[in-house]
Amino acid sequence: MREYAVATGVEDPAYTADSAEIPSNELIAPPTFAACFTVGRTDLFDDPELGAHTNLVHGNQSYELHQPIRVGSTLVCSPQVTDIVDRGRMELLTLQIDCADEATGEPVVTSRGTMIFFNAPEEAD
Amino acid sequence: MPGFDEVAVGDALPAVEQRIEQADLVRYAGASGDFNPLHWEPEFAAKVSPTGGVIAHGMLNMGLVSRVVTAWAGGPERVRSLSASFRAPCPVGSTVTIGGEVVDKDDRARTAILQVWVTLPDGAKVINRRSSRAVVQLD
Repeated sequence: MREYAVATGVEDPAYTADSAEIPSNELIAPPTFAACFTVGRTDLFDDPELGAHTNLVHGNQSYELHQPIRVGSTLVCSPQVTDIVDRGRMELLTLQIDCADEATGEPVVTSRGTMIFFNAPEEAD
Repeated sequence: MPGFDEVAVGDALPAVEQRIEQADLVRYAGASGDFNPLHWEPEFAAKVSPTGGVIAHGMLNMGLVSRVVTAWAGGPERVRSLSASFRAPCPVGSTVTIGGEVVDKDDRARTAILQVWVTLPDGAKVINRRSSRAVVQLD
């Protein structure tokens, strides 16, 4: 969380202070921190049947925060394909990922995002 | 942080300018786990990038918006939602301007609704304000 804050230019001393001064378990994640497990470290696209590849860009993204993401909590994230649009040269895949607190079952963050996959010309319909 | 009654539709957040270097993209890749080579490998980017070169992660730009909105709001726990529509590619080495403006208020929820954006010096919209919003809880 500290690394993510620094990488996105956050200057709040809560993230840059010595962890002895501000204990990690008192930190609240930056609002877009869920990118680390809803966009970045995701194996969602690994299923070969999905036909995903690395020639892609991000079309849009939203985060709805139901409660703060805190250090030490475990989130259970349930991904769902909510839309697929085939535009020939490109295909748009929209995912919703609902992340809930494992301990309480309460919703923490809802991620919605669209990835645009560019097909090679010979692969296009 | 502004109070709900002090905030008016049309209020602008202080604009922030930032130059985005290759090192920033590497740092973001490491922190977020998004290692798409489009953001660090010139040879790969030459084949697939809309600019023919390395471009910034959309989510890095959204993270910069998150930082600016959070600073205005007075803390991450006040940000109820954030959305971004990625439009123009952001080439490495660009100086971006991050901005926001209050476009609505919800009296019942005591929230401010903001349009947010990231632009390049030529006016290109990296994050397009018309379809990018933040909802901030105020006192």
